[in-house]
Amino acid sequence: MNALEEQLREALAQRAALSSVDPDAWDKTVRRSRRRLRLSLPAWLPAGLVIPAAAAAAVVAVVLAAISLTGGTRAAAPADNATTPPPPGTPRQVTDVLRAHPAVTAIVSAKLGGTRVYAWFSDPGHDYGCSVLLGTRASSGGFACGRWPSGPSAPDTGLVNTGRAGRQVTAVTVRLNDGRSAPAAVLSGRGFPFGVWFADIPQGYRAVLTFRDAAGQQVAQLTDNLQVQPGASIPDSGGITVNGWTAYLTGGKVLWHGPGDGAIVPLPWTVTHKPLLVLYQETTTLNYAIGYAPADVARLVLRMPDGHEYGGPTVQGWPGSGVRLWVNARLPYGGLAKNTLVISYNAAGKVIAQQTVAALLGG
Amino acid sequence: MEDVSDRRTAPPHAGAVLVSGLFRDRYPEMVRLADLLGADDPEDIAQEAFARLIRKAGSLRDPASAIGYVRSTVCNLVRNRHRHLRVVRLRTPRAHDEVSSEHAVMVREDHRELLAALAALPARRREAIVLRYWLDLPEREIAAAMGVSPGTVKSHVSRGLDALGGALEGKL
Repeated sequence: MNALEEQLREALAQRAALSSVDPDAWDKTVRRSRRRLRLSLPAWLPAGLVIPAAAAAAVVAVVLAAISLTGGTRAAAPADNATTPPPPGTPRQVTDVLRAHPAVTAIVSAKLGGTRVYAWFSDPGHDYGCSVLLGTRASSGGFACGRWPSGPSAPDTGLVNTGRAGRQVTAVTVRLNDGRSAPAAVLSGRGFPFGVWFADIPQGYRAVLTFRDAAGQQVAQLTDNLQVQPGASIPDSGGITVNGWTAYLTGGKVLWHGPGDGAIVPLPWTVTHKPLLVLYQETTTLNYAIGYAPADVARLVLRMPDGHEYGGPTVQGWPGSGVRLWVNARLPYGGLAKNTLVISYNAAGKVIAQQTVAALLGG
Repeated sequence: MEDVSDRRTAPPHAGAVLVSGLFRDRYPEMVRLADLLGADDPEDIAQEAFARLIRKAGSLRDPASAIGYVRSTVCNLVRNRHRHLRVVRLRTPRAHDEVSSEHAVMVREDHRELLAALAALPARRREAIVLRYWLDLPEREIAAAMGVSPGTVKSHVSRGLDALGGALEGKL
């Protein structure tokens, strides 16, 4: 065995040792096998119509920006794990997604202008659900499955946005900056842990989303500059967007909401004299370093052990918070070595602090 | 808004009983395999592979072949998932994403480049390398897991090693 093979064995063994295992994995696996059995044999489905799960990938992607308004109490999850089969006539794009992400709640649907929206939850206890959009516009077809995020982030105009609605919310309206309205709806059904809203905001427009209760009273409002008006129960602060991520100060943590699928990365909220950051690994090719730094840090740079530097300016945090926010994307695969240097510069370009990742993580 | 669904009850299921022992012994290994093959949610892949085994348990002629079936399913699912991600760029949030930074700093510096080079290999070569050098499988079993011939495995391993060597030239 040569040196490369030896090192390969060591590297693979070390990397493999980092994997963790969910203690509930067996229960989940058994549940999953039951769901698939149910869904794989719907009586109304002709055998020739069964499409491999991979075919679901053929639908056009849609980005469901993660705006949310939460509040009220969570509905109880269904008492058993019975799945909800799609009724006859359900479009193939929806049944494809249902096979991979079976519904245990109602499957609800609504018209949103020229777009038909379907929504359901696969695991309401963990807020895990799916939405499928069948549209006529290029930007409004596709599906997304995942956890509906617990905090808001940027409405991305030109796409169908979605988010949570408080239980008191029964309607949403969208007003564009030219005074026109845009299609929007609040959907809920049996077993839903909360209502979900959708809004189809045309490209190039700014929008104000107004949420109302059954009596027609305004409950909350969202604008595309991310300010959550009084009435929404969380977060405690408005959101601040940096490089596609949006930070909220809530519940003693800074919650970072990722672009696209609403990934959430929490950081403890403690104002210290050193930067605090975390690496979020989206894929093997897309990694984000995310964090915040003291108020006098205008620029933060990561210097890798091989000398490469990745950095960028910080962004003003919440008024009075004493912090500045920072996100850097496209770091190399593998994360941050302990001896990576985190270098803080002030507005004059002078180095004011230099610490290793190990020191910052307390290691 | 309309409720387009109705509701039925899931059928009872006996296959799970047959698979539970194998799951207990080999589930962590399959999670790690999926992880090393670049799955964005290795547990999801491993659970799906065992779920499929549960459904198939009654028709397995040789119980000893079960782990081979699961291993092969993991490889297929990861490959399909990569194709899927390329099209829809969709990712499911996971709880353990939150600790990825701790994981990252635990990987030895001199292994990072090697793992990065491995991640950049074509999927088939990466599979062959991982099955060979992590699971220590003989070529025959690698071939079964990948659904190719032993000769093709040999070729993938050889070309994969060449590519890794080339990528790391002067760094090891």
